[in-house]
This record gives sequence, C-alpha cells and structure tokens, in this order.
Amino acid sequence: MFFKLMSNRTLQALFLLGFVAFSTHAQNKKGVLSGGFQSESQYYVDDELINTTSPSEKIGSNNYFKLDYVYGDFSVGVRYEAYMPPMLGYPVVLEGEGIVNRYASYKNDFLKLTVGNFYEQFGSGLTLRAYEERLLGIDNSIDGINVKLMPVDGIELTFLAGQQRLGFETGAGTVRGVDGIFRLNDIMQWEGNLGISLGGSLVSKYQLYTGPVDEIKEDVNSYSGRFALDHSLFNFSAEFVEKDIDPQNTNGYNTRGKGRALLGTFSTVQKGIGFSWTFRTIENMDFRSDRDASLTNLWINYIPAETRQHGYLLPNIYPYAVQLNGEIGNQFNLNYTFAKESLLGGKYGTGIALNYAKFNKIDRSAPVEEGEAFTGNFLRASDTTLYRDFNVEITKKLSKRVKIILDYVALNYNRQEIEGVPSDNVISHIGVLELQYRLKKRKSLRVELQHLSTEQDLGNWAGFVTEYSMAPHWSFFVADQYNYGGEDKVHYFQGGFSYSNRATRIALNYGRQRGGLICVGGVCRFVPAATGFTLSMSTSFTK
Amino acid sequence: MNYKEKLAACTLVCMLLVSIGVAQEANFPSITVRNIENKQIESSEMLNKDGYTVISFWATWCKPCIRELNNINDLYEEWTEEVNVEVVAVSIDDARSSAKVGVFVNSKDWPFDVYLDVNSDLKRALNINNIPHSIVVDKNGQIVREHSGYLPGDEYELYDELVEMQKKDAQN
Repeated sequence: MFFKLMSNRTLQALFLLGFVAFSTHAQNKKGVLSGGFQSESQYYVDDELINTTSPSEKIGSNNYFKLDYVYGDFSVGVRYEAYMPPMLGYPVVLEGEGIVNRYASYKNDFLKLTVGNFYEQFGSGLTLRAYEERLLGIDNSIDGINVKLMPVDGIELTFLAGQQRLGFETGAGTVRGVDGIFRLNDIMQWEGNLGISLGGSLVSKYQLYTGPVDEIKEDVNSYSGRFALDHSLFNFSAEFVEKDIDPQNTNGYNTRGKGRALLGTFSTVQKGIGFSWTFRTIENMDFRSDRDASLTNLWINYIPAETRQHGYLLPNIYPYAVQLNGEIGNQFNLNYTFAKESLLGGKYGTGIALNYAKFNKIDRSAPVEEGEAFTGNFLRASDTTLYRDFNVEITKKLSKRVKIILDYVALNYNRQEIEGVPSDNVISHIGVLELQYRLKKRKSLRVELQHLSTEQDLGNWAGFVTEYSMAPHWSFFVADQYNYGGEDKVHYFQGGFSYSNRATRIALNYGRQRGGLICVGGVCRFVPAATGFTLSMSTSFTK
Repeated sequence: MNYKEKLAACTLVCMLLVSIGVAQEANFPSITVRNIENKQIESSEMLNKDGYTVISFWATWCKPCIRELNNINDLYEEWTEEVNVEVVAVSIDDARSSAKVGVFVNSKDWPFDVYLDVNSDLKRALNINNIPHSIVVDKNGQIVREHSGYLPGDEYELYDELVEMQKKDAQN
C-alpha cells in the first residue's frame, strides 16, 4: 500500500528514523542491530520411477535476508528475499527478488505505532492473523499502519489498516481492523484465583467491484466476541465469529450464506495429569483480501486443523487439511505420567499421551432459501466424517542411556472430500518405535521404525530413520519410506548431514521427496514429487 | 522495485551495517509474550536479573526441542547448584496447539518457566529461522550465546560455557 500510494513518504520516514538512530547513536547511546539469513536450494534430477522429469529449470532457490535496528523506543527493519526461481511447490507469485518487508516502529508504555509491514493476531486468529511460515511460502503481512493503545492496565486496543503481501506486490483489497482486550481483574483490581478477560474484534475488507452481481459487496465485515476464564485449576475460553456473505473464488462465488465460527477450549492440570478439549465448528470462513485469490494467497484469518500435528514421517502421509466451507468436531488430549518407582512408572517414570480428534461436515440437509442468512445448521454434524485420528504415545526412559517412544495412530481420512478426487475413505493404522541411545556423553544414535497399513489408496508403507550425532557440530542421517504395498514399490530414500556452529547451521541432503500435502500448523500446500539435492543454510546474529 | 526503492533500501542497510560492533548494552528485545496463565508480559521480565538465562525455543510438535528440554531437565538440579542460571522455555505453538502447551508441560514436570509466543513475535525479533534454537542472556540483558538446532550432548557444551562465563565474571 505504502509502496504504491505513499512510496516516497514511507521511504522518507524510514530514512528519517534510520538517520535519527544513526546520528544519536554516534553521540553516546547505543542501538542494537540484529539480522538473519536463510537459504534453501534444490538441484533436481530426472527420476523415471516417480514419473518426474526434472523441471526445465534444474535449480530452485529460496533466500531470505533480514535486518532490524533497535534504538531505544524506535526500531526499523528490512527484509530482502530472492527466489531464483522458487523451489518446487512454492507459490509462483514468489518468482523474483526484492525488498518484501520494511517497517518503522515506535513504542512507549502507552502506545505502539508501526508503519510499513507488520504481523498481527486478533484473538485466536479466527478473524485476523498476519504471519509468516517460510516452509509453506506464506507471508500475509499487512503493509500499512498499526496502532496499539494501552490506556490503563488491563486494556489493550489495536487499530490497523493496510494491504497484504502477495509475492512481491500487495493484494488488491484493503484490510481494516480493530481489536480490544479487557482483562477485568486488572481493570477492577480484583484479587483472586479467577482471571476473567473479554475481547472483541471487527475486521473489514474493501475491494473495488464493478460487476453485475448484487450480492458481491465491496465491503465485507467479520466480527467476533470472546472470553477467557483462567483459574489455577482450569482454563476455559470461547470465541464466536460472524462474517458477511462473501462470494469469492474459493466458495465458487456463492452468493448465499454468512460465515460463522464457534471455538471453545477447556484445559485442566493436576500433578501428573493434564486434559484439554477443543470444540470448533466453522461455516463459510474462508476470508481473503482479494475475492479472486486462491491457494494459500491473501488469507486474512487463520483457521488451522484442530488435530494433532504429527512429528513422524508416515503419519504425515494423510494429514488433515481444514475444510473452511464447513466442518464441525472435537479434539481431546490427555497426558498422564506414571510416577517414578510406581508399578508402571519404573525407575524414571512413564509418560502416556492420548489424543482423539474427529471432524465431520456440517449438516446442510435443510433447503436453503434465497436471502436466508445461513446455508447450514452449523451446530449439527452431518453423517460425513472428514477425518478421525486416534493416537497414543508412550515415552519410557529405560536407563540413563536408553529411551524409547512408542506411537500408535489410527486414521480415517476422507480422501475424496479433502483432496477432491474420487476415492474410498482411507483407513490406516500406523505404528512407530523410536529408540534413542546415548553412546557417549556427546555421541548418540536414534532409530525410528515405522509401519503404515491400509487397504486403500497406495497400500502399505514401511519406514525407517537412523541418525547418528556428534555434539556440538555434526549429524548424519539416512531414511527411507518404502511404499511396498503400491504398484511401483517406490523407495523414498533420503540421506544427508548437517553441521552446526553456534547460530549457524548448514545441511546437505540427497533423496527422493514424496509428493503430497505438506502441512505446517494445520495449513497445507501441495508439493510435487521430486528427486535431487537440497542445501540449507541459516544464521542469525545480534550486535 | 524501481531503482529509487532499491537505492533507499541499500542506503538503509549500509547505515545499519556501519553501526555494527558498537553496541554492548542490553540487546535482548522487549516484545510482548504470554505466560502460561495467558497473561501478557514483556519478554525482558522473563530474564534472571542477577545471573544467566537460557531461553530455549520449542513447540509441542518439535521432537528435538522436547528432547533438549528433557535432557536439560535431567541435569538441571546439578546446574543450578553450580551456576546462577535459569532456563525458560518459549513455545511457538500457534492457535492450533497453544491450548495444549500447559497440559504438555505439566506432564513433563519441567521446572522451567514456560512462555507462549503464539504469533512468533519474539522468534522473529531474534531472527530465529528454525527451532530448536537456544540463546543465553547475561544479567545485563546482553545476548552472549546463540545455538541453532539440538544434538544430544549440546547440553554439556552449554553447561561448560556457562561455568566458564561465570568464572570470567568473578574475575572481573
């Protein structure tokens, strides 16, 4: 926004601040300079077995360089990115290089002001979250102005307006928002065990429209209310969101149906035992600052999958991708530790974690009338299950040197609904055994054995990972995911090493990358299968 | 980006580069995070005011991060007897898993203070690319050590350096 409309003014502001910081710091006070660099490059080779001829461009390379300068209450920063060209599977809008982020900011006890690019989250993110996730190529930072006010203890107000980053440009629409947090205990100066806070936000997008469809409005609003109860024994919070009718690309320009979302979480802990429960239902909640946007572009809000994020390879073959047009479900989590010296605890104690999540489509059986506010009954589930995940993880330290982790996962994956291809439900059972063995103080070995069994889709898989590490610098690994139940019996073999020294890390891998959904934080992008070398480098510093 | 913008960015970068190497005061950034009771606090309040603070960035889904914190936990009593150090664990779990952090930490029985950085503001301010990542801050708020990644045994390196740094402090 600023580059387009106020390009000179923003730059002047940046210069001014930079100059002030620079000149005053030359006098006596000192500022802080920090920065970071990250580079991921791939070299692709032909691989007939997975039907990939390497792309015409043999190399993909993503590079990020960031600098921040803080001087007292002022800070400025810039980030440069270069994609020469983007690695396979990254958004094509990233092709190119240039400054993608620059900001200047001032803060004191009462106020924080940022101009330029900023990140922000309102509540749990259901109405607005600007964030960066490099693994997915997502950066929906807002370029504009952000003002936070803290008039009294316990009240925080945020006002923002701007346009979102899309590759090396900004998206077509403008985002405006206001959010308030009210912590009653601080405001009323209550003492006691129970903390009560209230919050609310209003987010609005504006995008020019000159077409003939009446239901397409230039302004689309989303508003929410939320509360949280924090007690020493439990936490309970809930948020409700409603969004205007929002015909757009990702809902087929559907002119009926407002958006709604309800999120509730409860958690409680006692010595050795902890329990959490999340309920969430959503309907028509895809919210973007350009009605024609698709893929992972220009999201205003953030709605992750409410399922466990698995850490092993094979359970990630069938990850859940949240269904923004309508889903309803629960997730439960129970952690228990059998105490040391007890029957099941043994000498070092035993940890057990149970997790269950199930999401269905919402009930849309009732006929939808013209002009009706909602398309479905968003508090009622339909019979169509989208995803079900039951998993148990047991962690057991056997001796000072040896630790084992057992993980069992039962997945029901509605491939037809999630991937949009004709398919049976994929029902799979996955077992993982991880063994950590400390050979010497600084040398250790880690082995993972995994198996996935299913009668659908690609059939059974076996997997293993072996990693040998020598602290503080070197680590080597070989891994394989073998689809022995599939027609082609493909091995997805990978091997590589890494070198770390303080804040710097360099890693080189060679191998075959499985195609499919890559999901981080419940947001997914599709990655094509590929074979080749990957070189990763990263470093950071603070002066 | 036109040449004016490029020139502007380059000049800014140059000015910043010139200032490298001069700063020696507190350089740990002041960013709002949440404690495990969901209360907002400034990141500087996490610090051990009269000794060292080890800040370990982790997440409930990050296996090596959990391994690092478990291994430090095993040695923690020994450490705190010898060195004035506090370990704090900053979770970058976002809205997907932040509700589980308290439950998870409780089951681990970690003695560390745990904080939530749900939109990665502190992680970004420290220019951390990937987790696990740990930093050590001294009593003046100065970052004195950074380490990217975790390999089993790194905790011994960290401890040795803490002992070394404390020795140096005593001499000065």
